[in-house]
Amino acid sequence: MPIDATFPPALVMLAGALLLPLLPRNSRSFFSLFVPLLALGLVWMAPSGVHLTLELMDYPLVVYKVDRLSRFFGTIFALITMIGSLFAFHVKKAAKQTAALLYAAGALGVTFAGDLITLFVFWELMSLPSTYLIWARGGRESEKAGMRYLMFHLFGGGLLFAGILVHTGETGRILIEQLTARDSLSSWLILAGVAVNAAVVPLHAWLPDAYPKATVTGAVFLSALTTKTAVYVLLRIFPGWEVLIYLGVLMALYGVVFAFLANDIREILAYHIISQVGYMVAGAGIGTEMAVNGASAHAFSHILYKALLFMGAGAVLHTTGKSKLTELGGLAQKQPLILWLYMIGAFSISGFPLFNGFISKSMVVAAAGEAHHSVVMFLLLLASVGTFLSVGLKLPCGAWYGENRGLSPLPPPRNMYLGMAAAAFFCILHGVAPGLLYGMLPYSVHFAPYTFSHVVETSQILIFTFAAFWVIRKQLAGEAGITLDVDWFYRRPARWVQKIFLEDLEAAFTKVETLSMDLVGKLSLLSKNPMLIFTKSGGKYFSPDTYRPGIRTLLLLVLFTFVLISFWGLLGHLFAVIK
Amino acid sequence: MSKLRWALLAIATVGSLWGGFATPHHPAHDAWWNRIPVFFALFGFFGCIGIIFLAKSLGKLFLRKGEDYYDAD
Repeated sequence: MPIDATFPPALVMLAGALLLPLLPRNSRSFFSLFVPLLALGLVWMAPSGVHLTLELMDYPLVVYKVDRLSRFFGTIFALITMIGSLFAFHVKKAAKQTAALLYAAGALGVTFAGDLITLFVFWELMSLPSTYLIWARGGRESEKAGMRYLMFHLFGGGLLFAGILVHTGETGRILIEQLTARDSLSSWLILAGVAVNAAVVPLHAWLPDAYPKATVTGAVFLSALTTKTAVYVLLRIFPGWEVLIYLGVLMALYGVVFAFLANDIREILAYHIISQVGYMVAGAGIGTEMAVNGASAHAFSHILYKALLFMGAGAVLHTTGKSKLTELGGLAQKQPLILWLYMIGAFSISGFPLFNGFISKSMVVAAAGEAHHSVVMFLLLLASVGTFLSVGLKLPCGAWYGENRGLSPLPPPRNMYLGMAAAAFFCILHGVAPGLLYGMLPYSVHFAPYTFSHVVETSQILIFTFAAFWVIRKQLAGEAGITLDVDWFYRRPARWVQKIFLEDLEAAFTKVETLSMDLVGKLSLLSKNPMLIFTKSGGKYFSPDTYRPGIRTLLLLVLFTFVLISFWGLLGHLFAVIK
Repeated sequence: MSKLRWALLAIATVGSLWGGFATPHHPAHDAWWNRIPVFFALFGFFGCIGIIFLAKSLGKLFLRKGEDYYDAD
């Protein structure tokens, strides 16, 4: 198949990932930039329609199908992979670079899948490379968190696959379509499987558990790809499912509250992924054209500013080796550029006018208002207050201002600045010129973000959030420790499970083994030494020396008798001959 | 914060509050919150305090544990 405008970008990523380890060390970083660029070009050039089909048994697989929604998500996935690779340009480990490309190949494959089997295959392709990006950090914490992450995603994949099987069994169809049957098991199984990857509360605990323990550069890819492919699938298959509205609002607020309690800066950001994805899930639940547009636009903006924030936090970790608020502080003078680039991301996620969060988040909020979900609208606005509080105020105050702990950060590699600057550029570009983003959206946009009342409303909220923060800022320092989340339910009982199923079971086996060996030992005494039955003495254990003199005498006697008889026979023979 | 930033903030504050009063209203089909000019200022201020209070009390109640909570024994 020649590479033309209809060549699947996911296969380009996949081929790139497989080719990369074979290249010379110095050209790999360039190659990891070039591959997503090529994929991005293909995404843009591809006309709408079905471009690649395969036959699997009797099912027609649609491997590459393009429409406005998938092109929109494909664009941002390819773009962020390129920006992430730029940020990771200094990384020379082939395994890390390959993992990132494989992971992106999975995300693009899901985005352009036209049937459920293809979707599932690429869905699963994402889980292992993403786990590797956590493991690659090294250390016991990352190893264990990565394993929990992998287990959780295999569980989610299992739910998804079960749902697909039931769905295909019930309807005989495997093409991706909107599911509307609210009473069918298959829909709920698929929804649950997707919800795991979207980090829908209460299936979210893998995210704040694993992301803070990933590598500095790996976390950038993680923050961008897994949850947003799940959002894409929700928009594609489940628009208008009311339950998603409430789950989305729950996520938005849950993330905010837990982020406030977190001490690790990347954990704060991880909880804010849940919170921001909550807006998108709610948008999918509302399901109107404006809501789907809003959720898509917010996914696009979110990927950019969240990657930027993770790059900023990652740069701090990379240069100081620290990531906890209680260990950071006083870096503002030493890292002004990282601080400012981070703040562009923080302004964006908080929805400041002129930044991309403003033009996308407000679309979801307005869609909620327009669909007469006023309570939902206010709760989403409240979540944005909490977002500014944690990401825009508490985190930078703790990490860059606050108590000077005498840290002397190393200078970060230049490419880190470039990666951050690229993300920051798009955050501002879309904030200033929203038409560039709106023009790519799946439906035509009838929404103007920059109205007088909207700017006033947002300014009031943000300024007075700052005022409240300033009043009680003294009590907001980070506190050492961890926050319990629903991962308690599988981490804490792990100890008991280990005790019951491993330690106690092993103890029981050992006990049974000792008992049976004892019994066998006792039984064997009977056959070991038959003399015991007659003598009742001779000790418990067999010693050959005890019997040696007796047997020796007996044998000598036998031998002597034999010799005597032989001698006797020989003499008789001799006499017979002599006669 | 530097004096310049405080000054800019003061201008933005006055501007946003003035904007709240200056926004044209249609009492007939405006929602009730749009009729209160400083509604969103109050929303931001008390929302922020509310979130901090909620998070802190949940943390105190049972959510915050020591670093080695999962590693102990």
